[in-house]
Parts: sequence; C-alpha cells; structure tokens
Amino acid sequence: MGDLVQIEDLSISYGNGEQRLPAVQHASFSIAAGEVVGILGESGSGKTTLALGLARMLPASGCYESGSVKFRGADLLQMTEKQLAALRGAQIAIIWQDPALALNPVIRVGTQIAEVLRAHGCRDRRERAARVPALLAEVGFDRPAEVASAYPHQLSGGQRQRVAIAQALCCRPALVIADEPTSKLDAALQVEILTLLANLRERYGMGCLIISHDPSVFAGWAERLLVMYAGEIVEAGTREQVFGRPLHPYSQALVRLAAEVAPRHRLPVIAGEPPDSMRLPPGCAFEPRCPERMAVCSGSRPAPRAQPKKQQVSCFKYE
Amino acid sequence: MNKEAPASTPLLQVRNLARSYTRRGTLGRPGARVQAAINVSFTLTAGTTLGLAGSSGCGKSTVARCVSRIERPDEGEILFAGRDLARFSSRQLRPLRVDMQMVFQDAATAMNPRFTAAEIIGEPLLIQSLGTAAERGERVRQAMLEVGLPPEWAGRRAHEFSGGQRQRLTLARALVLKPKLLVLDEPLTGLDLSTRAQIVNLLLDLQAAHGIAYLFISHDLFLLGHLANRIAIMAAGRLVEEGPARQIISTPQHAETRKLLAAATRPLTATGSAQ
Repeated sequence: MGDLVQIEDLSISYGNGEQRLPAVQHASFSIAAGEVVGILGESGSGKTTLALGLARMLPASGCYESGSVKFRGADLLQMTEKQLAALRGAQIAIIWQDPALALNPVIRVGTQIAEVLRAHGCRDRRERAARVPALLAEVGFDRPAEVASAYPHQLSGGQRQRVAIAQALCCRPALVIADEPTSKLDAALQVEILTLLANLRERYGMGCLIISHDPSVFAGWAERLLVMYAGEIVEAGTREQVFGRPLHPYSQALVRLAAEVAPRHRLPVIAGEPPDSMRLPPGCAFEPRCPERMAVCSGSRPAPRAQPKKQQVSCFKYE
Repeated sequence: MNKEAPASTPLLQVRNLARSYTRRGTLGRPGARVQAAINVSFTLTAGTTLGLAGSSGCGKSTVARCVSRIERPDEGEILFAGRDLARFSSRQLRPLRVDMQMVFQDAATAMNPRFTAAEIIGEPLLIQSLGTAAERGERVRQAMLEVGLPPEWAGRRAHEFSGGQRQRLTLARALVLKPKLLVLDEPLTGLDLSTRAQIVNLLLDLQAAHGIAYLFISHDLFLLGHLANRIAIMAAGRLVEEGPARQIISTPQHAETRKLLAAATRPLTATGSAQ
C-alpha cells in the first residue's frame, strides 16, 4: 500500500544467444510515494541498468530474465509502447548524467520543454508559452525568457542540467529517476544542483531514485539507500543505517572513502577491481576484494538477510 | 645534468602568464576576446605537488596547456629548469618533453584505439628515439608494473581496460620517459570514488619513489587536500589565493576558496564523520 514502485526478483541481462551478461540479479525493492531512494555502486555494478529497467528503457540488447516491475500497481513489463509513452515524461521522468546529450542541440530549450507539455496534453500554445518561463524560473534562472530562447550550446553545463530538470519536472511526475545527475559538474555546481533537486522534491513531493557512485550525493536528502555490487543489491537500509552503521564490508569500504581531508596522506582504498560480469565468482562477488572473507564466502552466494530495523544485507558475516 | 635537484630548487616558475582566446563569432564575424588567464604567477618546487583549483571556466586548464606548451601564452615566462619555454618552437620543445609530460582528463580519448597497451606506452620512447627495441620493451614492462598493470596485458587495446586501468595506462605512458614534471589536468574526474582513491595513492607512491613534481589541475579541493603540498586558487582567469595546502584547507581567505572548500567537504551524516 502506498508503494509507487515495487520491484520483485528483477534480473536483467545483456546480449543474446550463448553470450549473456548478467547485469542485474534478483533485485527486489520498493519506492514509496514521495520517498527518495539512492542507489550507490561503482561503474559496472548494474545501477544504471536497474534504473533503465524500471522505466522500460533498456537498450535493444537488454533483456528481462525474471521478476516484475509494478508502478502504482500496474505491471510495467506487460504494458504496450503506447501505454508506456503516456507514462514516461508524465509520471516517470529521467534526468540523465550528461544534459548536453539529453537536449536536442538545434532546438531552443524553451521549445524542448514545451514539447513535453504538449505530448502530455497541454494543447494550448499560449498556455505552454506561459508555463515555460515559470518552469525555468523554478529551477533558478533569473531571466527565464532569455534562457527559453537559447540553444543548449549557449548555456553552461550547470545551466543545461537545470534546463533538463525543468523539463523532467514540467508534468509534475510521481517519480524522478536521476542517473549521476551531477557527475559531469564541478564540485560547487554539484552542491547547487543537488540542493535544487532536494528543494523541488520538498515542494512537489515526488518520489526520487538517485543513482551515484559518490556517497556524498545522498547526504542530507536520501531516505533509503541500496548498495549495489556486481549486479546485486548487497545492502539496503535507511541513509542513517548505511552511512552510520554499514553492515556489508563493501558498504563499509565505500563509506570510508568519503572520509575527511588529510593532507599528503594515502586514502583508504578498496583493493582490486569489480569482477568481470562474464566471469562472476561462484561465491560472493565481493569475496576476492573483501578484507573479512571466510572459507564459506568463495563456495556459495549469500542471500539477502533481514537485520534489525529493516536493514538488509547479503553477507555470510550475518548468517 | 643528471644530478638530483635539491628539494628547494624551483623546477617550474611561471611569471605573469596571460592567454586570451577569440570567441567564435556568428556568420564569420569575429567574436569577443576572452581573457582565459591574466597575470598568473606561481612556483613549483622539484618533487612536490602544486594543486591548481577553480570552478569550470576559471582558466586552470588554459594555464596547464600553456605550461606544457600545447598552447603558446600571449605573455609571460615559463621557466622550466631555468629555461624560458614560453617562446620555444615545437622543435626546441621536443627534447624537453622527456622531462615534462601531460595526463588528460579523459583517458579513453587520449589514446589511439588501434594501439596495443605496449604501443601506447612505448610511443614516447619511439618519438624520442630512445633505446633498442628490447630496451624499450623492458621500459614499457617496468612502467606497467609501476602503475599496477600486469605486463601480460601489454597486447590488449585501450577499450579492453576499465576506466581506472585506462588512466593507469596514460600514467604509464607519461612515466616511461622518467619526467621531472607531470602536468595532470583533472585526471580523476571521470572515475569512481574508489578508483579515484587508488590513483591518488598511486600518484603519492610514484612521487615518493621518483621525486616527480606534479602540477595537478582539479576543481576538487578534497582531492587536492590529499595530494598537494601547495594549492593555488583561480577565479575568472586570475590567481586569487596561493599557499601551503594545510593553510588553504584550514584557513581559506578568498571567497572562491571557501566556496570550493564547502563543495568539497560534504559530511555523510549531519553528526560528524561516518565510521
């Protein structure tokens, strides 16, 4: 009840025939209406695939192996393209990592925002023309009319991401998926854009699924966090739980990475690299890099275990 | 010539550097002049790291490109081991490239996709006509070991490496000539936090082992806090603050420094540090 998104046992792979790359394995989680959920993981951990899979936007080589994705109770995996088109942009919006690629370079940004409004039922041209500057003002532009008539290349990276946010939010979606929304921006701009997103979420109460490799992106606003490693959700809990008392050795290492500045000191690292998804180890995927590995870890894969206060972890330490 | 420079010798002195660009105008009309760097001066001691920080568009990459003479500055001096490179021709610069190398942000586009790892790393040796084929092979092997890449991967091409491994590859290429100065322009920006930490440690180790000086360009004061001995802050083409890293981090003076610092240190929980 009240769940906006419900994902159960979702597995997604890429490729066809013999060569199948498992990208997401047996992922289960939900997002409540208005909730901010973060997915934390390194590149290749499957976090983007999971988000794309949620919106039925997998590339052609992507394939649902098992599981279900429900949005407000309706099964997304059974929907027709037409049903999906009505949903995307209106109910589910995506903010991409690189706004320069997400915006059409030869169309004025105001027109691009108006396009979304028109596609989702705003038939009156004058009404659209009136709403666009208001939407741009909302994402922090002082002179929205000037921005509306600009082409994407005339804007800076931070400004383009603001435009992309205005576009994503113009139909007041129930869910916003943001895939590394700030990783192409410099540090000061990252804070600005994240603050903007958090403020807009406060105002409109939409659910958010935020994806990042950087724990600090979630600081202050994500309510729950999912930690992904090699296609699996290895830990899930509230932000306070995952940051304050991480259970999985991988989460512990990630949180340690965001430590304090210590001049001319070596940083704590996670030795090694994530596994090749073609050659996943038979046991726990983190076992080769794990500082706390035990004999059991290389033999079989740990299943998600419920911990006190709804925290959940896949690790033999807690069995 | 081969004698180690004492610790306090300035390896690089930049004086009053200036560089402007003409913005592309519409329909063939010339656009406005943009001053990317104005009156920039700093000194880098041999074997140490100077961090050059600032927001996007502040001119820090322009300074890096002028120092490594990918671009020619409009004004100013670039004294490298006592010689002013500012007006050197590319022919005069070539022998100096042995001592000064550059590492770029996007490792994937900084390498020829058709080259093997061994060819990528060995190319500077070929350009400088150094050693026999066997000697070059050995130096490539050494460089790979030093950056933590298994020499067995010498036959792989760039796309077969992960992002972090690719940046190790460009580091190996920069190190194969045993330079005295590395100019690194945002080399960690596209990488995951965990990979970033690995490369930071690698850079610290390489510096300790070989006494290489780094001019490290970044917008991230968190990283520079770890890497740099001194930090210089740029804003709108000018150097606005410069000092020991510890001092810049603990008592920032300029508003731009404080802005960068606030952005760099974001505690995970409201109540102090995690862990």
